Amino acid sequence: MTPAARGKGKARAPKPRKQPPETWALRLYVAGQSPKSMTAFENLTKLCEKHLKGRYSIEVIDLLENPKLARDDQIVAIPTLMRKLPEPIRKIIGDLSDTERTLVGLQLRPR
Amino acid sequence: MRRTTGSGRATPQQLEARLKEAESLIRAITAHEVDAFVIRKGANDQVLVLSGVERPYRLMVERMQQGALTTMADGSIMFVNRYFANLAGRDAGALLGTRFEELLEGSHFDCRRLLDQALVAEADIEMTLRRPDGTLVPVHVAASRLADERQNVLCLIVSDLSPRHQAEAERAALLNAVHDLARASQRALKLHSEPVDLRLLISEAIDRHRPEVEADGHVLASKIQDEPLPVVVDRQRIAQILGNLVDDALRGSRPGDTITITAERAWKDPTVAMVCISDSGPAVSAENMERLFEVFSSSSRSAGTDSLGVGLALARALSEAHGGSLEARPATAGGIEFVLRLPLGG
Repeated sequence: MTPAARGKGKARAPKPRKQPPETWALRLYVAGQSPKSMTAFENLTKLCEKHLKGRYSIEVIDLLENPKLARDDQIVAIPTLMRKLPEPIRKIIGDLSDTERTLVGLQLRPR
Repeated sequence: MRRTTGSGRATPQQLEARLKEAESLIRAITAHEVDAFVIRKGANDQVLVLSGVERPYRLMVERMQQGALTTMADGSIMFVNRYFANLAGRDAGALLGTRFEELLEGSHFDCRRLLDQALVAEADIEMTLRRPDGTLVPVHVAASRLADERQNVLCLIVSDLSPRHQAEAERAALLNAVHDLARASQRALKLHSEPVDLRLLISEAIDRHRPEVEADGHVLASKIQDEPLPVVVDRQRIAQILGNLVDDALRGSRPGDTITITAERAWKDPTVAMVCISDSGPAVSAENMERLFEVFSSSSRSAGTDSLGVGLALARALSEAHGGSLEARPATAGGIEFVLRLPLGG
């Protein structure tokens, strides 16, 4: 995380290093306490603490409780992580056990 | 990433985004990183959870110390936990598909009514399981419909009532013993005496008690004289005396100890039959020997057992009611030797 890379959060093209100053809004879709849902939540909090400490929020949505909520974000498989902010919206399907892939998917690391 | 609907054309960028999402979905599925899916059926959304998700719950049900099973409305078994399979004395796999009522003793009517009621509201009943070996197990069955309203699936929780029934039987036996003791001390005990060979009653007692004696790892030895020992006694009461003495010998014994029963005409007094029941357990102090026949005494032998100290007092009272006597003395083999004397006659 170089301090020089601050600013610009809305760039479409991947940048070598970017550090959006705004809060990251993440939404994790889970199915009750299914093992993969639990794994995803654990991996996500670990990752956020390491890379986004103090500037992220995680909203957990349990689709077992309310399956209709899957419609807005067109969720098909669970767990799925949505990056609502910064834009553009990104969607990462799976339990986030592959940290590298998750970082790339969240654009926290260049691919 | 919104999908275009209807006949609207997707831009190359949109198509690329959709392709990427589809690829990442396939990757997540094949890498087993997802375990639930959203299923759309018309306006209804459902979450389909892959098997394995409920594993913790299944394990809990599998390990709980109560029988649990699910059945269809007609009682066809779909799942049983290990505890229930053990209770029913059958293999869990063999139970699937059979009807619950087939496992029960007696009329199937109660079972039918229970299952019918359970479709509407929680219901429960006491019934009896019949194991393949013929043994019967009293159980309490609570039945209710599983929360899923789309199917008529019932959940049955089965509790073993044997310990409770056994405790009730022991309590009843104790009450009877106390009543008998009270009547005997008032000389109001009614004996149904008849002439019988005492040796017969002793061998019956040995046959009756051998399984429990040997199950505890003890040895049961006997030495009974060849000539008949004619007595006029209440057979049930003599059986009760012998049973109580064997019980006490068992309590005083360690695994591997020997309990010896002998019966003969007393050489000092030929008008008396003498029955000795001795054990090779630890020696008992003279002081405790004195207190053995006191009601509700807790001798060192009964410590830690459920004995309330009624058995020996009753045995002595019954012996005296027959005109005989019951004494205890140190056994040569270590523990106690009970000496029962009964007048010969008839």
